[in-house]
Amino acid sequence: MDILTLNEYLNRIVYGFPMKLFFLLVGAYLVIFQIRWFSAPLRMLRVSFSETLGAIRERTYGFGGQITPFQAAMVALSATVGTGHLLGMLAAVLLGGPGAVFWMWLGYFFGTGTKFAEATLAVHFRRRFADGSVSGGPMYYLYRGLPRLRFLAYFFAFFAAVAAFGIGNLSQAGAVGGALAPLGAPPALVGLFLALLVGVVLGGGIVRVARFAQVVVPLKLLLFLVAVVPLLVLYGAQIPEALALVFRAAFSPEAALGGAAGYSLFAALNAGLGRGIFANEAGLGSAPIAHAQAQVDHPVRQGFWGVTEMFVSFLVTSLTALTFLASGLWREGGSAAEAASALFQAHPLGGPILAVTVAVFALGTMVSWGFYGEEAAAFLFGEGIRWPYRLTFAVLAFVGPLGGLEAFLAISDTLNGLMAIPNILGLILLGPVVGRLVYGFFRGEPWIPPR
Amino acid sequence: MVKREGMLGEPSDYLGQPQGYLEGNLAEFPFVALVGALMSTGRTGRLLVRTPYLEGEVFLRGGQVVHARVWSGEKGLEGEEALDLLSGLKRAPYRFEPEVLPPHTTLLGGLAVPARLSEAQALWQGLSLPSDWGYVLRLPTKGGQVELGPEALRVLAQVEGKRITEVLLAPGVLRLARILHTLLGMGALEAVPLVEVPPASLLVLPIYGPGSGVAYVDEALYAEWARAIRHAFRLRLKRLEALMEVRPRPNIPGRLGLLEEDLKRLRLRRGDKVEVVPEV
Repeated sequence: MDILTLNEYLNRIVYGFPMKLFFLLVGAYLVIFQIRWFSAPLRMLRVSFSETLGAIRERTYGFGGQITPFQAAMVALSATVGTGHLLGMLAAVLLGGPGAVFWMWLGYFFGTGTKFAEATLAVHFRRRFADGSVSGGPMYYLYRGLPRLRFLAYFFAFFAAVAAFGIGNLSQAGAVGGALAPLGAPPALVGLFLALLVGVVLGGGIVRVARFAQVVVPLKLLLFLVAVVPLLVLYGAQIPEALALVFRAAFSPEAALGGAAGYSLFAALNAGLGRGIFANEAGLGSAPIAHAQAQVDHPVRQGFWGVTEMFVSFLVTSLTALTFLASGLWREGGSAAEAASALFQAHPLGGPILAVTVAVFALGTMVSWGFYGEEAAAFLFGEGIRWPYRLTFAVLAFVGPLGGLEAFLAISDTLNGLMAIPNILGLILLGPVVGRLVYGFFRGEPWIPPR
Repeated sequence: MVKREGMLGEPSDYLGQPQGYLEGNLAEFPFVALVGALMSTGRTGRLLVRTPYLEGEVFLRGGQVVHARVWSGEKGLEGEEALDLLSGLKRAPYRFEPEVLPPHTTLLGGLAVPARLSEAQALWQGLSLPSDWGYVLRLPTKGGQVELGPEALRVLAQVEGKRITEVLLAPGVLRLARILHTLLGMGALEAVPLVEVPPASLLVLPIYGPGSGVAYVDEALYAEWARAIRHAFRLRLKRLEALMEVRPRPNIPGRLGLLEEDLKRLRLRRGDKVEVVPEV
């Protein structure tokens, strides 16, 4: 068995249906038994909004640390809201039919528990250094929270540090290059621009990454709205029907769409859960690296920002899916890129708006992933690795738009999926810690960091 | 600067001070004992006592106390009344300047002075007034019933909002001190430090939990206030005119933690800017 065959085998496991079901069950366990979302759902919802969107006006006020909770959420959102929300969403509908959207929503719902737990644990177990900087994420909560299973922390850090080069860099840089190529941008020039940008932003550490994310996330959302609102208006009359179709096709796609459409319940489940889990990265363990940077008085407060991150991601994927369904283009099949091209033909700004949106989405993801990878590498090899890692990341950002390195990309994709295994195990074992923190938070108790 | 606290009769040959110069604090060398020591060594000069709210001076000539004066602003006492008041000071820096002569005499010296001093000392020892006479007197915040004599009532009617120093700086020092002691002991009066801490502008942060009437501030800010006030204090939310119990809480710099019920009651929400000031 050569390495690529082994990689293919592993890839099928980490992105396979049983794994998705596992993600869903862990999310449900956290939501129902640890966070207890349902014990006082309305109160939880109110607090969730108050702690996040309600705190937007104090976004510039930190709690004395390097970056504010808002900025940490922006870094995480910058990575999460990527091309998977556009092209990935279209691909999921093409593969699973309209019913996939329903299963995606289910994945999102239970994913909120996973993301909440990740962000909470990331802050709780983060490490504070003498210069006031902090580092956290799954490698730290696995290392400090599960002292007998520290090898999980090393596995996670290794997978994250290498996956960041591929899925977080090469593939994103390739997406930027691919999106801008029809507009006449030479790949080498795009690569040079990306390398410089990534080098400068990552070189400034978390403060500069956060400032960048604070600009790029609103820009992403603005571009997304510019791209999708005219289409929503155009297909507005079909939206209620599209919504009804989502529910009808969720459980019996054959009956709702006709057997000839070729969509099965399994296809809908598989594609939908895939989007509902991997689009928002809940369970992968990437976002908590950003959330750990937030200076808050209690980890649970940052947990709520994790929920908001999911909410924003949910809105973007759902609007994309509904627009696509309302257009009726999903019935024509084909690849995601072809479907996107057909969808945006009806847009007043045409293909360029799609190209720019995809490019900005990919760009934001790239910078945040650079930070994730750097943190993971620093956990493994110490502070001295930061600059070599940044330089390597910048070089690969240059290579990305030029193409090639497919084998490395395939391996990094698998490693990206493998990140979830130690992280999910950690979430199960550390679930009671999350439960205790949530209980203490709602009793008004101050947070006592672990020693 | 090296201090020579409470050492008498040793020549002072450093820092350019004249011989016999002496300084220290009454907390280490009580006033009556200090004057007694100066008298027994036959000193001539001025003993200056200074607190933030009160100044006093005692002049000795050849070991005899010939003049004493205490004052605060324009109010002042001289002679035996001044000695009575100074005898009650528990803590204050003092300085003895040798060879300074009195402007005039108000005391005859002799044995009358030590007798008066020991009488005053005995009385002060039986009283429990706050050691800091800068404290302000006020009626207690919690109501209650006490029975008072006409003299105590007259004093009570006149002292609210005044510092202890201001009240005592009047003829009949020892009588006033005794009345104050009684009023404080009965709970008819409270002595609290006068807090002059600038208001802090804080952002409201919800604290989710049961209870009400408690405000949380960052540990560092709380410690800063506690150092400045040195007394139990509460927090006044300016403009809202709400007075709340205050507790320290870690990691909330720039924030005012309020419980949900208080947020509702005060019509505040997350991120609102509130001016607060500690109040005794």
